[in-house]
Amino acid sequence: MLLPVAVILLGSGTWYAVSKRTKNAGMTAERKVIFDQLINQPQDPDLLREMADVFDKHGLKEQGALLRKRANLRELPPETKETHKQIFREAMASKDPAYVLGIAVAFDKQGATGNAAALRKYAAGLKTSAKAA
Amino acid sequence: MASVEMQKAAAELIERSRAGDQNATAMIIEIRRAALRGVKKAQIGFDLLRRLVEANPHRPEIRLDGSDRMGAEGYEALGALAKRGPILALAALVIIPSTGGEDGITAAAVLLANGPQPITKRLVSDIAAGIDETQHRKLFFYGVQCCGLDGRSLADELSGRGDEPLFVHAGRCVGLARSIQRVRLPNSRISAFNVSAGWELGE
Repeated sequence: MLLPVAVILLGSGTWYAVSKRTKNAGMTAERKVIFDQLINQPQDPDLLREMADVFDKHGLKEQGALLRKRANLRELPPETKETHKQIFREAMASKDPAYVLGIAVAFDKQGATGNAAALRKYAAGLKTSAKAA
Repeated sequence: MASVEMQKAAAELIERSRAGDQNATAMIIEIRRAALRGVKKAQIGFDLLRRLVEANPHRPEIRLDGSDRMGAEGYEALGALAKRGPILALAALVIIPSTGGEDGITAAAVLLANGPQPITKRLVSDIAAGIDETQHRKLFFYGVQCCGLDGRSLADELSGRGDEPLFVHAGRCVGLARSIQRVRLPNSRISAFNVSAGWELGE
C-alpha cells in the first residue's frame, strides 16, 4: 500500500513541476501514469478525492469525476456492496456474453472499472470459446 | 494518400488474413495483381497494406501481450478442449496460449470453468499426470498458482530464467478456470479473484 502511495506522491510532485510548462495540455504521459495507478490499485478514498481536484484543476474533468466515483464506491452502504457482489458473482456464472457486458457497463458507470474489466475479459472468453464449440 | 476508412479496411484485411481467413488472403493477392497491372487505386491500397505489414510484422511465436486474436489453430485446439476435456486434450491446452496469446488463455479458462467438471485439486493433479517431464510438470503447477499474474511480465520472467513458458501458460488456463469457479460461490472473496474488483466492492 505504501509503495503505490509513494509513487503517486512522487508522480504528483513531478506533475506540478511539469504543469507550469504544460498547463491544460490534457492527458500527458505523466498524468496518465498517475491516473492509471489511481484507478488500477486500491487507494485511500481521501487521496482519490484530492487527486480528483487536481485533475479537475488541469481541465481533466472526466478523469476527476471517475476518481470521485471510485472514492464514493468505498462509502456505499454494506447491503448495497453485498448486492453488487452478488451481481458480480452471477455475471461471472452467466454464459450470455451480452448480459455480462451489460453488467460491465453498469459497473463502469459507477466507477468500478476493475469489476467492469474483469467482466469484459470473461465476456470475451465466452465469445471466443463459443466460436470454437 | 489513403483515407482513414481505407487504412481501417487494410488493417482489418491483414488481421483476418493472419487469423487464417482465406478470403482475406485472396483479396490481398488480388489487390497485388491489380497493382502490378497498374490500377491506380490498387497501387495505393497495396502500398498501404505493405506499409502496415512492415510496421506490424507477424509474430507467430508465443504471444502474450494481450492484444492478439485467436488464430485458426487456436480455435481448433479450443474445440478439442471442449470436446475431450483437459486431461485427454492436454496437448490442446499447451497449444492454445502459443496460438491465441492472452485471448486464448482467457477463452480456455472460461471454457473449462463452464465445463462439466469442477476444477478440484484432484483434477489439476490428473491433468499434470499427463505431462512426462518433471520440470514441465513443475512449470504447469507454477502456472496454476500464479494464474492471476500479468501474462507479459510472466513471459519476461520466464524467458529471463530460460524456462519453457508453454506449460506455465497451460497451468494458467487451469488456474484461471479454478478462480472463476471459486468466485461464483456464495460468500466468495472477490479480491482473491481480482484485487481491484474486490476493493471496489468493499473488501
